[in-house]
Amino acid sequence: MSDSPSSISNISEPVKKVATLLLFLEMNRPSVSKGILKSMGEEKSRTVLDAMASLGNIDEAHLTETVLQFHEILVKKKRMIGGKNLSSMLFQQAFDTKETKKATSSSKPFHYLESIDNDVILAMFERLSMQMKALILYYISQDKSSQLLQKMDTETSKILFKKIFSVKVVSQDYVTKLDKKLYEQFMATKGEQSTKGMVLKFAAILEQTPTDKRNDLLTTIEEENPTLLEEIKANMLSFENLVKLKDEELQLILANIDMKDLSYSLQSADTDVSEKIQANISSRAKSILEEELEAAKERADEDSINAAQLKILGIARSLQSSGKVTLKFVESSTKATKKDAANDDKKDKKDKKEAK
Amino acid sequence: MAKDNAISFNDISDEDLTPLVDIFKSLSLTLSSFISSEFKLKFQLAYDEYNCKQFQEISFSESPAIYNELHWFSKPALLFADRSFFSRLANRILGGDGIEESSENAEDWFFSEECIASEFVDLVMDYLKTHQQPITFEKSVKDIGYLHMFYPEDILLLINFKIKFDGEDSGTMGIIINESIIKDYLNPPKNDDNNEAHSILTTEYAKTNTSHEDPPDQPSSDDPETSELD
Repeated sequence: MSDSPSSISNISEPVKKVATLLLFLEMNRPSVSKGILKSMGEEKSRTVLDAMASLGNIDEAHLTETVLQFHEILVKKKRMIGGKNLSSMLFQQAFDTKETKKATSSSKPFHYLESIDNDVILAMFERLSMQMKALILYYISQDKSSQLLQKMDTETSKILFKKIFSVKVVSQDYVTKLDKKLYEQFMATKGEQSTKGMVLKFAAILEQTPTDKRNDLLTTIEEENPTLLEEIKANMLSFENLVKLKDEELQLILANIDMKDLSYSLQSADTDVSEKIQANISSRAKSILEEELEAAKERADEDSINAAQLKILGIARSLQSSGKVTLKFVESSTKATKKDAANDDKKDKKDKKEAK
Repeated sequence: MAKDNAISFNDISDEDLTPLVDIFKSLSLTLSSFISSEFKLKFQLAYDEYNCKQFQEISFSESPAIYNELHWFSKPALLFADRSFFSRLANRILGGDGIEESSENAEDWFFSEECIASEFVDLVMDYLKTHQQPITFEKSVKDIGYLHMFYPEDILLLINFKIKFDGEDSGTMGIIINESIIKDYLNPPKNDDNNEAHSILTTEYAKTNTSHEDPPDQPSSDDPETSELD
């Protein structure tokens, strides 16, 4: 179970060949292997990098033979390579069939969940029995399990804890089959979406819809299904909702926003929103913002304010897509926010004094 | 074996049914053996009895079940089994003690139960295919009202099985076929097209498939009702 670097004798021949090829490419075109390793993924790259570290001197004849073998694969199976990514090419063609199977089966069941958003997993959990949830938590990493358990109610967590401890896998083959079916059912892009997924999707769409149209749509939803409206609203990120984000997340969003856009967006914002935003930017940025706010007072109209706010929300969503922020709301007390802002003001004054 | 006295087939006698009953007895033993050994549990699928009934007279269980429409000799056949059985089996496969889990709404089956139900049908079909029976899967539903395979007056053969987990009753399974399937089974048409298996889990099962079977045309010497499986 150790991850220590393998000695050269422990490394399989196909892995050695891949490592040799990458060394050859790196010598001839520095940095080219970086992209290849990235495509291969962390786990496979680590194996190949271990092999590269253990290779030592490679004689010319061996190097030529290896490179020619890959070249032959490329020429013979040109069509196949054209349709697959590089990692598939390396592992499906460079490795023999047995090796490929070994590589696949060595992956832990449910490992793909590690990179899936917790809310998506929890939505999927709605259709799973307690035992299946326990089995998934049993296999996935400690960190991911902990994140998911924290998001569940105490009673469910208690039951799952008990079950995780008593999991007795009687057939690894069947677990693998269920894992595969689960992947096909929930992770593939086909098929029906969960209600939660649809709510999140509509919430994101409505955010980017102009205010008057959005209000019309919300009124229609309210007439048809008031509960759904509440759910959508709870998941909609509005400019005003930015104050409900964690400070760290808000700071990251603000760092990606143009001060001009921010100054326009704040023209119609509530005082608490304005204060929260100002409390989460640096004193230097604050002074630039103050100038921009003054200038925007003259020029801003309803359309430009809306456009600036939508742009900021778009940036927040794109940061969410790249996994940099979660956009989860936290309950923050206004007092705490005001206190923080006051502290920041004090700090700013102190900074200015020191500068003088 | 109980048989409805009021209704019977025109051209088929009790004796004629013996080879058919034998294949179902053999099926139950093979599946019991496979599931018991594969999942290390005391499981028994036991042939119980057959009845000859009109479709409208068949009373399906009130408890949730899955109904699978099959085509045997290109004619409709119904295989049904209780949810409680799949629930317990799924729980065991997922590392539990084989207990039944219930969802808030009985109509909403858990994902694992659905998977296991589908795998189970594959096991049954693979057994029959191994014995050269041309059988295909059409669809499965959880409400018998969604299936329209027989007319209410159709006279059908209902083969009942009992399911036990650790000696406890854990539901039932049934197969319903009509007279023409029985006739084709007894005198197979020459032009039968065998269908490709579509099971994803029968690789291991296929290896053990012959362990408890008797040739379908020879009566079994085992009494499945008294057979205890580990």
